Amino acid sequence: MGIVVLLVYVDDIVVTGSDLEAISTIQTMLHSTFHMKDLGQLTYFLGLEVHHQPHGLFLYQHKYSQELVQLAGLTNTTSVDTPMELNVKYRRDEGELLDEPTTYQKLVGNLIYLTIT
Amino acid sequence: MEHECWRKAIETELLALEENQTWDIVPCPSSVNPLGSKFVFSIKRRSDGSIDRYKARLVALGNRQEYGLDYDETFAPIAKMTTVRTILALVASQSWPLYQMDVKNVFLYGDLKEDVYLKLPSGMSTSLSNDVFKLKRSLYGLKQALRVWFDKFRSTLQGFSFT
Repeated sequence: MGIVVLLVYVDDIVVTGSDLEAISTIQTMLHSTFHMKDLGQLTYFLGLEVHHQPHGLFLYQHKYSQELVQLAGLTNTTSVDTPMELNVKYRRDEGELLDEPTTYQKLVGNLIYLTIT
Repeated sequence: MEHECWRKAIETELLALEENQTWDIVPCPSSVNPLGSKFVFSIKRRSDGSIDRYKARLVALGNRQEYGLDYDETFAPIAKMTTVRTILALVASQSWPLYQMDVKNVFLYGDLKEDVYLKLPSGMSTSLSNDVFKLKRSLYGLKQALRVWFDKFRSTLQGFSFT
């Protein structure tokens, strides 16, 4: 006797657990009810890349970060430790408005997601 | 030439929806203001960038739904990132197997409790101009789409009756 764990993210499902037999039973049952695709071993879930290694799992977000760099238009640039000016004060009525705030909002959203993942 | 691809994509989508028994076509009741619908078109590409297929997805304009009328609860549980990481840690320490599956057309499985009427997408018409879709199953874009899917998924799992 053991357990089966399902992580459900809308249409993405991760299946794991200690009971191999029950896992494959559940997979078969799900297949018989829904139109499902078996994606084999978990490699990519919610922006998280999973690399299977003999001594454990290696998690990284290279693909997600790379897409973020691309969105920012910063491909092929060199990196620095502190990319922003220090101690800048921003005021509501100073400076120019961004003509296209959507990209900025996307970047902020992506960065937040990157740090909580 | 592209016209033909998109027309075919629409046909494929409508066929899938009909096979799924998504709706009944009924004359619109006089008291009902049906929701709009539209197609969202996208080009699916393979990883090398070449065109895989043209896809048309029929969506309901759920932004016009009214609480208590054509939707009620909308909450649905979703795996939290911290839970995901915890489970992955457990997987690593216990050397559990780890698989991934995905569900195709996930939002079409849910059974609707509310009466939802949908205008026929433009370009599609029946002989009667007053006809609308009365939805039997959920459709992309409806506010309750995620919730009814999860209800379905949960009751299916419970139906497997593990003891």
